[in-house]
Amino acid sequence: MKLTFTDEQEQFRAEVAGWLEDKLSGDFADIRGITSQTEAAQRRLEWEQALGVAGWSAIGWPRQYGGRAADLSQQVIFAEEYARARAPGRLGHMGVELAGPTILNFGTDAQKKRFLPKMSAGEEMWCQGYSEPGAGSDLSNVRTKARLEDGPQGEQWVLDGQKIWTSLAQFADWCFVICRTQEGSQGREGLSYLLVPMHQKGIEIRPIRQMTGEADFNEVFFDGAVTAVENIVGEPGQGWQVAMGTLAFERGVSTLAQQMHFRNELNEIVNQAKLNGASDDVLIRRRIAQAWRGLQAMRASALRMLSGADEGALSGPQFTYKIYWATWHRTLGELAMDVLGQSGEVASDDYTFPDLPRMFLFSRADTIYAGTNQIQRNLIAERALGLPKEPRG
Amino acid sequence: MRKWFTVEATVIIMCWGSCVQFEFTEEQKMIRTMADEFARDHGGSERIRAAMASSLGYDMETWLSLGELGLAGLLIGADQGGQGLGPVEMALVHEALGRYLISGPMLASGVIAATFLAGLKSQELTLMQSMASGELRVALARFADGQSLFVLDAHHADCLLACIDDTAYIVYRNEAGEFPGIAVERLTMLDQTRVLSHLNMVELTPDAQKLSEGSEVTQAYQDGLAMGRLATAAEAVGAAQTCLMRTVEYAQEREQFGRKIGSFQALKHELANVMVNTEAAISAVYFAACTAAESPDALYQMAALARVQASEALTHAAGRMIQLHGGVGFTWEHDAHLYFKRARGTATLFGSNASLDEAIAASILGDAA
Repeated sequence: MKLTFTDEQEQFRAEVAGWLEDKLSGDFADIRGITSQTEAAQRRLEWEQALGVAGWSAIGWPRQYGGRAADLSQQVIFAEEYARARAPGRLGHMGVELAGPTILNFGTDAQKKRFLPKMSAGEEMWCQGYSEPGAGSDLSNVRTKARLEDGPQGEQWVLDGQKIWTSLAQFADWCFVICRTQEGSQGREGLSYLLVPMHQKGIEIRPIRQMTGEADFNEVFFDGAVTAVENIVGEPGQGWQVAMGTLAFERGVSTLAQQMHFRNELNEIVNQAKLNGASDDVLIRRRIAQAWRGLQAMRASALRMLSGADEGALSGPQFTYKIYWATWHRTLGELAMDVLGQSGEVASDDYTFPDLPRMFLFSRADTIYAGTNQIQRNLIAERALGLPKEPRG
Repeated sequence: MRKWFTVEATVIIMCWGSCVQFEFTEEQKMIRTMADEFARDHGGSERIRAAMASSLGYDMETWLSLGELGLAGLLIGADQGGQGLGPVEMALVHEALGRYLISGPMLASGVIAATFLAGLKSQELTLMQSMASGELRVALARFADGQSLFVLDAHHADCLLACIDDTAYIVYRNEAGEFPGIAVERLTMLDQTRVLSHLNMVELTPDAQKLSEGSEVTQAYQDGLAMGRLATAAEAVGAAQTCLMRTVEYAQEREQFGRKIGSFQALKHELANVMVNTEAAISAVYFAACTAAESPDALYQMAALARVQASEALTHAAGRMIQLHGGVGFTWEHDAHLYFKRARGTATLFGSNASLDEAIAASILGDAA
């Protein structure tokens, strides 16, 4: 077992850190530290392009598609340095982390050539069209439909239906959508994975105001929206398999970046506790220690996942990681508020909050999205522990 | 469909390569396999219960076999007759022992005393060699006002490392089998798989031989205790995995209302929670061991991390083991109470969870309460 990096890897770390510091104290100083999904969107689109030009947008991808063919250690290092530098949250996240790897793994050569370079260059933004009002935890219950029809440029898919909780839809040029392409099919059968352009008449986006007061999510309505016949990943009817492949990408290097972000938050809580005297409180001290322990356990679990420290198909943390971090983060939000005291409850005139109180509110979503804690427990019990399956309708 | 998902996720992780080396080396995997087999052969409810009921408090044959395998000298240098291995290998061995609640001189002698002695400038070659072979069982005790409380395995130790202020002495048993000048009161503890004693030093006799004095004694004592916490943490995650596995097995067999009780979501979610905490604790223990191996200065904080994390996971797992077994889990005959009691004993051995959390907090906040 080895946790330290080689000299060569440390050199790479210095290169990454140097570039980030240069940009974030220079041209992009105004967007450093932004964690909100929607703030300063125009500037962050420019940031995506700056990452793309410098080749830092999708470093794990093959070079021909704008990547650096970086190995796992380099990806870990980049993710850590990105978070350490307090670089802004990525508007390109959905493309680079989810759509891109899916196209790389399941797409045709033509799709790779068409979509990947623009994705890694920060020229095209993406959003994810999975959840629907009737398909939340039960994702396979999607009702959005697509059918093939003749269009002005030949055959095309025509979509009707509604997606919800679509983050970044207002900035997206493309959406990857799971929809039903086989009439009368149910559940996981008859679904397809389509790539749909967002700028068209048949698509309407309505923001959803959430409990933080901001609108990070949207409803997306498809009313005769179209996309070319070739914009399907995998075969018609294989959408579920392709979508599950995408979900698998969510547990990856990005977890380590997320942890660095969590560490920044814990550091800020510790600073605040020292400033306002909360650090003298025995219970607060204990909770700070607990939070720190959880953070170390998460880092170790992520490393176990990434390096296959356990033999066998899936190691324990691959099942338990989501519920652990989500619950940990929600608890961290409560600690933050107890450290800040009443002054942490003061909003600005337009009902916005500083980072920690906003995190306290937003962390209530952590245990809901990407599989609620309740769904996670079902998955752990049935898939990892082998307990009898729930009856499914 | 489910199978496909499993295969795909694995492929994705594999194709990323394996450059972060948070995985066991071939040698470590061999040690783990050996320790697991050893523990399986020497574990077993009857054998553990017989050891608990004996005056010795552990199974002598198990200890001798550990010595034959070379595991007694795991942490002792190769030039002193040991294996010269580190915290990672130690954690793997103790995780295996913990699965079956196997105890014995390994923790007090092979881990704590060995770490203490390694921290002293004067290397006691003969002593270390006898410890490495398992012939000599050593216990470490620090005295304040003539007393040392809750000392692990002092009742059977062949010799005692006694720290008074910043001076360390070594005391051997005399012909009567007693430590001259030191009275040993063997305690029957709630967790009967470990034997603790109160020591009362009536006088420091000339038989006590001075080993070392100065700040290195204090440091070595802290290191010994910290290594003991790490080993205890590894044992606790081993035990927690047994609790989880045995409760899952029971939930798959036991039927009520015409179905397996494991098909009820109320049980599934409880068991899932146990797995979540257990996996986090396993991660913390491996991480702590690996970090301590690379940076010995981090041992104290890493051991605290592992110990509290593992102690809480075992407390949770063992508590759920009793509850989800229903009435049978409350009987003396079932092993659940052994794990539950081990959990209690783990939460206090070598410092309470609260005191370890306070040490962590003081380090993070850069102060001391």
